Amino acid sequence: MTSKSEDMGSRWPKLIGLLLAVASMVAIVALYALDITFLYEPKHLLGITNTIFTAIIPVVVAFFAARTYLRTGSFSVLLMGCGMLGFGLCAGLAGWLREMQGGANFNVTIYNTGALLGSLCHITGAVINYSRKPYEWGLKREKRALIPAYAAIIVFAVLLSFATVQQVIPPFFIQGSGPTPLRQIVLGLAISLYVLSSLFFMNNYFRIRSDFLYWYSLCLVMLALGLFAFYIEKVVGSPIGWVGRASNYGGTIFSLISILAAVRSGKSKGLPLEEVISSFFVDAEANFKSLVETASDAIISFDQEKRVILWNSSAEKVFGYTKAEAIGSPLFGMFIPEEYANTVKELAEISQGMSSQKTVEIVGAHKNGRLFPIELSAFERKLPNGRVSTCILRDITERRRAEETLRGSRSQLDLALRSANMGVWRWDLIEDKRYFDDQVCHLLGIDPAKFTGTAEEFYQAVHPEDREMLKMELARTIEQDVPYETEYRAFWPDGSVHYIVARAKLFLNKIGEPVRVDGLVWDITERKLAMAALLESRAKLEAALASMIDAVFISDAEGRFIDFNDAFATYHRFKNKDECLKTLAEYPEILDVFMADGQLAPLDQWAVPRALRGETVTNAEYTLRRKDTGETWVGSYSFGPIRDKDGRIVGSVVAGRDITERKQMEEELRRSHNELELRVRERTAELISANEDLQRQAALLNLAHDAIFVVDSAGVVSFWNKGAEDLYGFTREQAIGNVACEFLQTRFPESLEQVVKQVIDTGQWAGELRHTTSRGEELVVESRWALRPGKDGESAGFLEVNRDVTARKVAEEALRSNMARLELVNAELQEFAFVASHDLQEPLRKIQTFCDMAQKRCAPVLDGASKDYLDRVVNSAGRMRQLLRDLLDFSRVAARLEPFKKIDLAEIVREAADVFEASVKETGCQIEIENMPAVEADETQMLGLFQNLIGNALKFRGAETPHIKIYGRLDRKRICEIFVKDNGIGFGPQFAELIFKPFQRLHSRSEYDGTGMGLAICRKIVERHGGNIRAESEPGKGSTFIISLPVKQGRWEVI
Amino acid sequence: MVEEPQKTVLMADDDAEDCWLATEAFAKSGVEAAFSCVLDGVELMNHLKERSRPNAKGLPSLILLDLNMPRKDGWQALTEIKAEPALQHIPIVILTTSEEQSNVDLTLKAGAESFITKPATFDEWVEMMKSLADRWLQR
Repeated sequence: MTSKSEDMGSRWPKLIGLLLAVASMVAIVALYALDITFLYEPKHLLGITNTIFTAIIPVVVAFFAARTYLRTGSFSVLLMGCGMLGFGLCAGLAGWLREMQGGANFNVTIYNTGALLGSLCHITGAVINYSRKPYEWGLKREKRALIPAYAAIIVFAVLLSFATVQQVIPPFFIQGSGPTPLRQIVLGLAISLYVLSSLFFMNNYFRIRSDFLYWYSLCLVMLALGLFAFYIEKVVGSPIGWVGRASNYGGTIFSLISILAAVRSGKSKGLPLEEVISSFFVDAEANFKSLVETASDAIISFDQEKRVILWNSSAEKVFGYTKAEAIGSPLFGMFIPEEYANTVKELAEISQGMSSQKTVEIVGAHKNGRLFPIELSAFERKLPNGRVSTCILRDITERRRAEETLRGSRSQLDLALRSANMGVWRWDLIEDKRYFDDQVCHLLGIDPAKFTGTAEEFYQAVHPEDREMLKMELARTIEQDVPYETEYRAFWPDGSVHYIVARAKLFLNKIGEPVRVDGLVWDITERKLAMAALLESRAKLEAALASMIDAVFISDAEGRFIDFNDAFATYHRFKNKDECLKTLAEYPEILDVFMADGQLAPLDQWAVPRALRGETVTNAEYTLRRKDTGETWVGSYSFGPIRDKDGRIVGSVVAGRDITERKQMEEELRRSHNELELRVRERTAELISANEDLQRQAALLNLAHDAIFVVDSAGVVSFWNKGAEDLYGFTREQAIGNVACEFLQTRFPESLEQVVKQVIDTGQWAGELRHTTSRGEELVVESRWALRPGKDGESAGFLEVNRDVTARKVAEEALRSNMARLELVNAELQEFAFVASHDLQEPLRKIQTFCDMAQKRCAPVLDGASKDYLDRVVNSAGRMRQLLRDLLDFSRVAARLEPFKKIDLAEIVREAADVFEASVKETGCQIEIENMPAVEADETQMLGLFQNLIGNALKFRGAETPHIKIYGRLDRKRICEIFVKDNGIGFGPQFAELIFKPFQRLHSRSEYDGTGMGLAICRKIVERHGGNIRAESEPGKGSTFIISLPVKQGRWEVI
Repeated sequence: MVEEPQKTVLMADDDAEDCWLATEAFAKSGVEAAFSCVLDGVELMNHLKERSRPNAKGLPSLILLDLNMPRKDGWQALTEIKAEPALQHIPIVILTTSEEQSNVDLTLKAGAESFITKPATFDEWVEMMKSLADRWLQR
């Protein structure tokens, strides 16, 4: 198509070129006949025009020729370049030499000789091109000829000019008389050679149809015409001469056009100019040779003796013999079985010289011995040395096979079409005609006899609602060349509607124009109806599947999952249904499946393959593991095959349920069951052996007074001893099996949960509980709970030992309230004593003061009796003050002033004794201090205690020198006893207690001074320290005060 | 006597008899200072405030303070005086009937300079005044 339009485009310029040539010829002939001889030869004009047209342009052409030669090594092209260069140089020189003296002759001589040179080169090239032996023509030849050739031409041109100017060469032209015979010979020869060359080129053009050759041929013709004009011209510079020059100029322009045509042709073929040009000079034989080498068919030539003389590379491939092996070998027998010799020979003979269109199919023998079908054509040529036959053959093994297959499939297709009730149709787009086979007509409800193939007839058969759609679809197929696939309804004349599927494909011609649409139609009405039913049942199935907890999946016979539910995704640990892999084959990638025995199950042991093999199984167990996440679960599978109505397996249905948890539970259960059994056995043995112990213990427990019972973790009594019966009044029978805290109406000091928690945490609990007996009496018990741990570490129950402390409680309660009252009274008393003694001091002090002032200031006016009275008042007040002070001390003892701390009693006693230093010196008293312990005590009070005791010992000393011995004795580590022993007057043992009472005196004040508070204070101090003090004495035998003190304070402090 | 302002001993005691006794004993002691009495803590504080004003007669050189007083007792007065920068330099001697050791400790801790139990005879009163003057008025 495109090459054709190119031809069309260059047709007119070509015609114009031809017309120009004809016009030149006509002009030359006319001018010759008219014989106009006026001269027109302005200075330089010829030089300039010749230089431009017959020098520069030919040199340019020569340049391209040189490049082409260098690229291809074509001598034809080189000679063409030489011709152009020689002619161009001579023409250019001739133009300028015209202006010299005798220039006309120079001009003509050089120009014409140059023309002859050019023509000789062209004709040589053309002849070489035409007759060269193929083997001599090769691309690999060295291209050394260019420089010598072009140099020789240039040298020749220069020498020629020089020789001409020097008039060495006989004159070609004599002004006035015209051209000489020499010139006529030269020019005549040149003209004929140009014409001859032109004919060669034109011949080539008609063979190859290349613009280059056409224009080059015209160029040579024009050159010939120009020279012809010179040949017949009589005066140089006459009109006929100018026409000749113009013709020559036209010729060179045409040569340039030819180059341009080659450039264009090269562009369209993507080849460099040089190759394009050289290709025009490649002669038929060379073409033939390269064709032979590159042909995909095997090409074999053989001579009259039927020996191989040509064996191309394809032949090497087809037969497996190399060129060297094949050439010279007999064709028949070795490569082609003998029996085909005649067939080939005959075929060659009937197509003499030309390759025949006729082919035969025979058999070839490969080097490896294989016979193979070949398609062969042959022709014969007569050459000087005899006849040569050439075969073109092709291995058609593949084609045969394809044909075989095609034949098979063609018949299969027909069969298929028939059995599928398919119709075949074609729509010829060019004629807009439809060809429907009988089946199509039948399906569309068209009478085949009446159908003429118009659009109206076709669309009439289509349901009105589908017509537009169909038109659009068809239009789209044609415009966009997309496969046509559509569904429409045929509307039969009887009014029935039939569903039709049509498929088609667009076919284009070679130039890409749509020419026809071929297609198929078939009826799907039944399928449609079935589909509707199917959709409905499918929807039901989907709903059913979706609502199932089990993963259910249905596969086809190839293991593709046609259907599966959401549970399937969940079951296989996919995020959703879309993520699920859709074929069984993909699953081993992501899943390991283990059989019940823990072995890795090969794919053929999976549920789907088993089902597809026809197994129907329920509750097969597999363990699955995701390879990516490692998640493992156990599935219980039920599966079975799906069979069509003929019983063939067409698929499988598998239901899987994740029973991991159930399995775990079963496992757990089984294990715990085993464990339990073991335990029970162990326990039984233990129990039997422990039973006697237990009975003995129970007997012992029954002996106990405490109520002892055992409750289980629910509080139900399982043991109830005699003590419990006695205490609560409930018999064993009444108690066992009932909840203890319910029938005993237990009141807990803290919540039962806390009690239980503590027992479980620490193993025991102790506290007081309140119970109600069967007689309705309230009891307080001191309760101790112990944990009875079960075998599994859980608490099995509690052992409660309860002791009735009701009586003690009552006593304690009474004591507490008495104590509280006592404390109150005591505190009031102390307050009273303190305030009283304190406030009473004030007026007493004033009584003393004013009596004193009265005695002193009123002494002159007082008589003896008054003074005596005042003395008595003063003494009484003083004694009263002492009494108050002692009372204050006494009351102060209980108000603990200083905290107890560890003190060394030896030091305290020594300090106390120091107070009486004067008295000790005066009486010569001896004080011995020995073995005094360190105790925790109130230092001040201890000091007061010993001051009192030492003071008493000194005060109540006898006649002899007083001797006081103070010593301690540590008793049982906790209590120490301190003895203060003197050798004083002593007292009767009946007063041993009395002396410790406040204000108790055994002697009159006249005998011994004192308030009688000292020992009371001592006792109070000792008692406050948790100890006691007593006295042992006999009158006249001294006395001993014995103090018991705890070594450590805190636990026995009594208020 | 003339060249330097007369020093003052101020006694705070609600017991009028003790105030009389103290004044008598102070006069008998021959100490060259003025002696005055207020009857409770409130009166004491007012007196001190008045005396601490500029151009006033000046603050007492010694305060004898009873603990047991109506309206504002000695404990409170002691605390207030010792907390007041303008007054805290005045020496305070607690003069009370109590012989309670705990009271002695507490008042000393609260800032009192000394603690004296009221004497039983007039001679002792006079002696006490003399030794107080020696101790606190000789500066």
